[in-house]
Amino acid sequence: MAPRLETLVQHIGSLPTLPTVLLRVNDLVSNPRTSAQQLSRVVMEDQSLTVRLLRLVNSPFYGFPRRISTVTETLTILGFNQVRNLLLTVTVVDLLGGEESEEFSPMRLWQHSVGTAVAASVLAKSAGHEDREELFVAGLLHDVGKLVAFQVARKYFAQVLQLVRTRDLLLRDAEQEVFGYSHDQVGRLLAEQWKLPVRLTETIACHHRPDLAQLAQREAAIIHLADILSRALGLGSGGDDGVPPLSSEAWHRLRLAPSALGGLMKEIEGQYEEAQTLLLRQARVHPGPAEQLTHVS
Amino acid sequence: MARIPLERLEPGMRLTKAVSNPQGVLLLREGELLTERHLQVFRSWRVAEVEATLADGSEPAGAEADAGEGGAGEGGVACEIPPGVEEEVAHRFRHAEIGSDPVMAEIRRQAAIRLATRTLARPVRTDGPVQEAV
Repeated sequence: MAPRLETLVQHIGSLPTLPTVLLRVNDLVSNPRTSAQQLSRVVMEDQSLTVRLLRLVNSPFYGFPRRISTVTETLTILGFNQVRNLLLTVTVVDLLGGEESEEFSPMRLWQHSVGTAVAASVLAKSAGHEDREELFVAGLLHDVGKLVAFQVARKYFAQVLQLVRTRDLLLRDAEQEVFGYSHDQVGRLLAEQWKLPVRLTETIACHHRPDLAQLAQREAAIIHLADILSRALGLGSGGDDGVPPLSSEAWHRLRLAPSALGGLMKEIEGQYEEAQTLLLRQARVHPGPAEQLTHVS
Repeated sequence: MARIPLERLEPGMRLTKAVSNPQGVLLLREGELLTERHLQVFRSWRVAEVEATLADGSEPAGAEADAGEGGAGEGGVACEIPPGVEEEVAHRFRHAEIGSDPVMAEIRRQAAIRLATRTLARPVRTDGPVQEAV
């Protein structure tokens, strides 16, 4: 009998947690009275985080027109939300890892997540969304529930993967059969535990069912399409190798023309390698096969 | 202007019309001198024939006179998608429920173009001019 969702969630306690600095940053950013000085003081308590933030904002990938040399400057130029999202980006790189096995490769899931993040950011720009960074983080995290299931209920997750192989199911359908719930629901619980912003949480939770989103309808639609494009381009693997069906409601919400897809997909492919290299360089420990982070004993 | 079947092409000939793949991606510009590597690329795309002259501009023996519009559309000469691409894309999209959805059909078409372009780019990465195709 596979663990119930509630049971799985209890074990989330043994999963990697966001650094306390980031939890405090989340609190401060959601408080309208927070000043840039307060926030930068908290960020700077973590030297490594500070260095990685500055390295990221000054990388060609982000392409800010001039060099940014302090946290306060970063906050002034980019705003609280975007800095919080950049901090999340440099942090989750460390958390998305796991031991490679024959059936499941966290490395390929990581690549799929980067592909989805890049696709989400490209789509956000094209759809005129004001916060590309939030979409980038949502893309990185959208499948984090799979990692939870892989880490804390490995035996059952192996059954899921077996169903994917033997009956050629999409992973989410196989999860429903084995667990009775799927990684998007698990992702929501982890995001809540991490105290991520509500809209980001909902985006992760609704990436397969963007029609269920209430606060983050456009964001969920973007991640839904980004996931499809990342799979269509064969960037990494989400545990199965299939492109899931497209929600026509999500597509219409984005008001994109089908003729734009060629250019968008070329751009996504072009940015993918660069993003992957950049993010792996950010990681404290590279989530490569030889040096995996192992979260659960 | 002479159309020359692939099997009669030789290194050193000069293209008199650009060659593109079926998706319109430029493989080689007009005026380029053909190398053995270019011929390999044409073979991998199953290019049937191209328009070319000998390096000195004269018409090679065995060339057929241009019969007007031919091949695969603007700037293109008939060729096919490299082997394996269609199978791989069909596999990726087996759950996608494309049906009559023009959006999903376009995503699938573009996925094939990207994969074909990458497949094409691989063998010529070290060899200059054809890289423009990417």
